[in-house]
Amino acid sequence: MNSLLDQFVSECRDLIETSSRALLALETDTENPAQINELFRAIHTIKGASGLFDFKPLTSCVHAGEDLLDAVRAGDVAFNSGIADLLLEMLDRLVEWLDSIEDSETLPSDAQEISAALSTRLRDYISDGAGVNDADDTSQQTEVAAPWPDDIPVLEGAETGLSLITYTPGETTFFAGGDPLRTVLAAPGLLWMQVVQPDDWPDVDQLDPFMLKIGFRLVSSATVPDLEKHFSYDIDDVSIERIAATDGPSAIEQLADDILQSQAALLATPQTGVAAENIQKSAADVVARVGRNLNVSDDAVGDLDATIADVRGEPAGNDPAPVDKPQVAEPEKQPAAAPAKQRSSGYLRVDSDRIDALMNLAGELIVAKNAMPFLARKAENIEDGRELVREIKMQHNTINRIAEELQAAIMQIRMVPVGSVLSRFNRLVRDMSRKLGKDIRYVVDGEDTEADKAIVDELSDPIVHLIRNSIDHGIEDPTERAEADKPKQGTIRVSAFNKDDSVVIEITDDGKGIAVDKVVKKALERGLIDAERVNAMSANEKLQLIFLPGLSTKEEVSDLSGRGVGMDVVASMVRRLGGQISIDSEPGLGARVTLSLPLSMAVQQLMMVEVGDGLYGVPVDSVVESQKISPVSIRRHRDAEMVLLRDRLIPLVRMRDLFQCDAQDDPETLSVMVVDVNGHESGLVVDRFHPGVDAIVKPMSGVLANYDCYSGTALLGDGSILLALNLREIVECQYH
Amino acid sequence: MPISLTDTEAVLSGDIDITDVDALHPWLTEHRGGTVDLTDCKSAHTAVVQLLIAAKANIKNNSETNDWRSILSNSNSYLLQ
Repeated sequence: MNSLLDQFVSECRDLIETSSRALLALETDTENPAQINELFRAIHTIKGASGLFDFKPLTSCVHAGEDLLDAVRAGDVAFNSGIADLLLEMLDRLVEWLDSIEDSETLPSDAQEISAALSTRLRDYISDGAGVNDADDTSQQTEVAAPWPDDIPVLEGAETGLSLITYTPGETTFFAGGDPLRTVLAAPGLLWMQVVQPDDWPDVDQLDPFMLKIGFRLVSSATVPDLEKHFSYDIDDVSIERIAATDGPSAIEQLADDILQSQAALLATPQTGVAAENIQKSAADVVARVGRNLNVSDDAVGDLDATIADVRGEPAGNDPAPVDKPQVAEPEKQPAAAPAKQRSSGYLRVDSDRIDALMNLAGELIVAKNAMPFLARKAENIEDGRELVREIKMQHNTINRIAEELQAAIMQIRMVPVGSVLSRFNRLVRDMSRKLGKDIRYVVDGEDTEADKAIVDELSDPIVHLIRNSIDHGIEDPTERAEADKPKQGTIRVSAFNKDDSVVIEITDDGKGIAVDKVVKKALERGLIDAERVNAMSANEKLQLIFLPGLSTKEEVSDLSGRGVGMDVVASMVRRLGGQISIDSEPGLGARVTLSLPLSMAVQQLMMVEVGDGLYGVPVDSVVESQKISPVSIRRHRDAEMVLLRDRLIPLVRMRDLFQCDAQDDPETLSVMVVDVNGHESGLVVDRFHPGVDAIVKPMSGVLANYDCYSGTALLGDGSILLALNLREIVECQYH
Repeated sequence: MPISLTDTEAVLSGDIDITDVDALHPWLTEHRGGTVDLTDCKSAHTAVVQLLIAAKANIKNNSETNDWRSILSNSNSYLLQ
């Protein structure tokens, strides 16, 4: 896809998000002008941008939406839920069309037909004028008019006020088919107009005649809404101001007065040294060049004179007697004044692929850095290699520091607020709750909480499923809620916050909660667990059975929350991200699912262990200790093996058995790495321990993604692949 | 033909479109400050008007109608009343 089209698609997606948010906000606050304007601007920008490409059905459909919003903005049509539904439908279509453009650079074959039908429905609202706001627009009447500009002739109606429009279309207006002069001449109530030229014209042979350089000023007797309607396609390029000719000071006199007032205020602030001298000079200049030559208010001049005199330490008056210089600090050496900074947003829009490429390079640097200790060990075997070893270690330290700083800097770039994902579900809650006849409020807390983009991007699927579950299975319909003495409106609250090195997302609903006995019954019926184990479980542990594969408690399959693929899939997705999931519930009061995810999926510290022919990585954070034990110290209970370490009974997981490797021939000792998984310790029986390593762990993809016992892969300094273990899955696999 | 170009004068008649810039621009480059007759010109695209202003063309308008052509005068303004 060409870069311009790529940028169009990306920007349109952002604008659609903005529009959706504004639309949903308008549903609860239908006359919020800020939301209406934001929505209009977003739709207007999509329409303008689409005009650069040959996507006529898209452009005309958005154009109809824009016209409807313009009518809403002008007060000709009252915003209502029908309009919201229709505009959301239009946004849905846009998303589909953008997907198609992204895939094939074309619109779907039925786009023309759909666009025509949708445009007709959108325009029907305008022609119907249903629910027109009859209330007069009083804003114009109450607005204070600015003084009449001196360079505009006083026109008929100037006393009561007219509108001054400044119209500055963009340079590329002609390419979008614009003819601003025609627009200006057709403006309602036009009384006067002027072409505004740039400060410098290039020589005529250097002029690009197709780049617009001029702007316009015009005075009109029309109302502001009528003018806004006329300029609706260029509203971002237009400013409208009410002006009136009064008997007060002229505009330039008013300006001079304002300057003097501000100088007086500035002088009233205590200053010393060079600053004080500069202020005196500046103030004197103002008086000389502006104040005395104009009919400015005497008060302002009086204040200024008095303040200058005060700063100078002399009495006010036209003929001041010489006095000692005011005691000012010795002028300090001041840095040269910095040139005025160009206005900048401070943000760069960068393709995430470029950041990923940078991250990959940082990863390779870390891998290359890991090779240096290997080199140092090799150098130790060289005769007289001690100096070489020392230098390699020194360089390793330096490169290590740079690599860590580089990686931290890139990680910072990759951090994005989770709100970008969480705010999308407002629409899901709205549509689903309507379909089910429920009244549900969606609340997001902590949307500014940040996490790595890779984590945030993956959050969407599990959270969608949890929210769907809450709407479909959790929150009761209004009648049930009334019977249970609950407010008719249910609430789904998604809270995000940082805890230690994790980002925690809590999805809470105030529905009927989860019936633990039903969960246990299903788990027993389906042979997912045996009764003896259930009896040993706490109530909370029983509740966690909901994450077992194949368990669904809803009797009827719903087309909304799915066919019971639910919680085990969600749990699997979260664990694949290196996170943890838990649930708690209070019957009748609601349920809360807690996702705890790493802030980043990038560099991890891993302990390496050898099993059979393979090397595996164990997250250092989970390692409690490593021990060599004698095989005779192993105790057995049924099929389970365990060992007593410092008065703790540690269940063992034979990794060779798990990976279906041949058993070792009667080893004298066994290597056991004790790991902590969710507060429970387990011992991994491995062949050998290896040193720790910093590694970029990448999630498993393709067919390997189905192997839950691995959390990802990492490249080692010698080019070999390390499989990072998903300890929770491994321990659970053994446990079950 | 809405534009007629001679060595001494460019005459614009009827409605002048943006595409007419292609002919007018080289003429104005070659004839700096040349005379452009707008007497029979009904309308002109913004790009044409911009070109005439930038090239500081010598505008001729024998029409007595008060209209948009006033913006090509020294004040670059047009008073409708």
